[in-house]
Amino acid sequence: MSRNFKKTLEQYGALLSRVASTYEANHHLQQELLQEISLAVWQALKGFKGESSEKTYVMRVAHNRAVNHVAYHARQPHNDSYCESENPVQSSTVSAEKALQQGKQIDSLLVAVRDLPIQTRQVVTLSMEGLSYQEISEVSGIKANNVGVILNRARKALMEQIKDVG
Amino acid sequence: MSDKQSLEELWQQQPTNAPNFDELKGRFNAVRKKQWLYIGLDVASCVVVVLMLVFLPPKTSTLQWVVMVSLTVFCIGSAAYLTWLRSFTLRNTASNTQAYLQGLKSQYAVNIKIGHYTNTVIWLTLVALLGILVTNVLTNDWGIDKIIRKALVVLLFTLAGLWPARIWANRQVTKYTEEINKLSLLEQSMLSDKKGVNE
Repeated sequence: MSRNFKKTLEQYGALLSRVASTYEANHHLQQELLQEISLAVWQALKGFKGESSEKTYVMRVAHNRAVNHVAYHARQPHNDSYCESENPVQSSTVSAEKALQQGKQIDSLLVAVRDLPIQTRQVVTLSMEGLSYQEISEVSGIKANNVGVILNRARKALMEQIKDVG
Repeated sequence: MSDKQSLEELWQQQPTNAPNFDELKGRFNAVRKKQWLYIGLDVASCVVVVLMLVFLPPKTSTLQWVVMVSLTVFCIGSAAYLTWLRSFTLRNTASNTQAYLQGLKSQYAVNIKIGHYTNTVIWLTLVALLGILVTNVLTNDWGIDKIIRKALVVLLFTLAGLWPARIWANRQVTKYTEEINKLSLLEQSMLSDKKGVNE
């Protein structure tokens, strides 16, 4: 069981980390949220019957756990300081200048994403993870036709934000 | 490159952290142990009350019978509800987000009801105990010492058994009312342009 989960974690670990960063800006809380999300996925895996793709199933569990985290922290004292991760794994090797530029754009994108209403944030991040309208609908519970409308509006807003940095 | 492609590419290039598998394994095992312990306690409580009911002495009074049968029904009902609740919680985590939030809210609403029912049962039990005491005092020729002794038993039972249960029930009601309020706030902020929550 734990060997299977280890494989799942290898496959979806980065994706789960991005879900955590979508909902939590503080690095330490983000790390804690990542652990909680991973645990929820592990517990839910035995209920996976193959009715959707595994990725969609994992995303459903992960987003629900993250939304719960937001609800729990709704009245907690808020520390908005976003800490850079201590040992981040960069996805590709790029030159120093380009990396700096890209880092700024990523930071700007993250800030803009976190500023979106939760439903829009969920839809747009699921889309950036490569899920189709139907799959986004299965995760969020929003009708597939509405997904397109929300996405177009959100993409425009995000592009404007990161273009200012670029 | 389209907006979709450039956003997707940028998003996936953000630095990520790997989950700590060893810590997760520890947490997972601890949760499983706790779950098995709860299941064991539920089963044990049912077995004990059923055995007590089966081996009740033939001379048991009607009142004792009623109390024992009520206790058995309560234990089996509680065990069944808790089993359902565990499986519901597990299934709910894999629902879509809107259904998940609704599921959480109904779960919390049931917990609030349980808190209110517990309070009602506590008052009813206290009234029943006092009723039994007064009936016995009026129908039996008890001396003042015996009346004081029996009244002390009722008082001790109330303080040791009913009072902690009342505190627990009130905490349940307060805690889950707050949770429902938080969820309602979250649901409102899901569509609102203002975040409304401190994430």
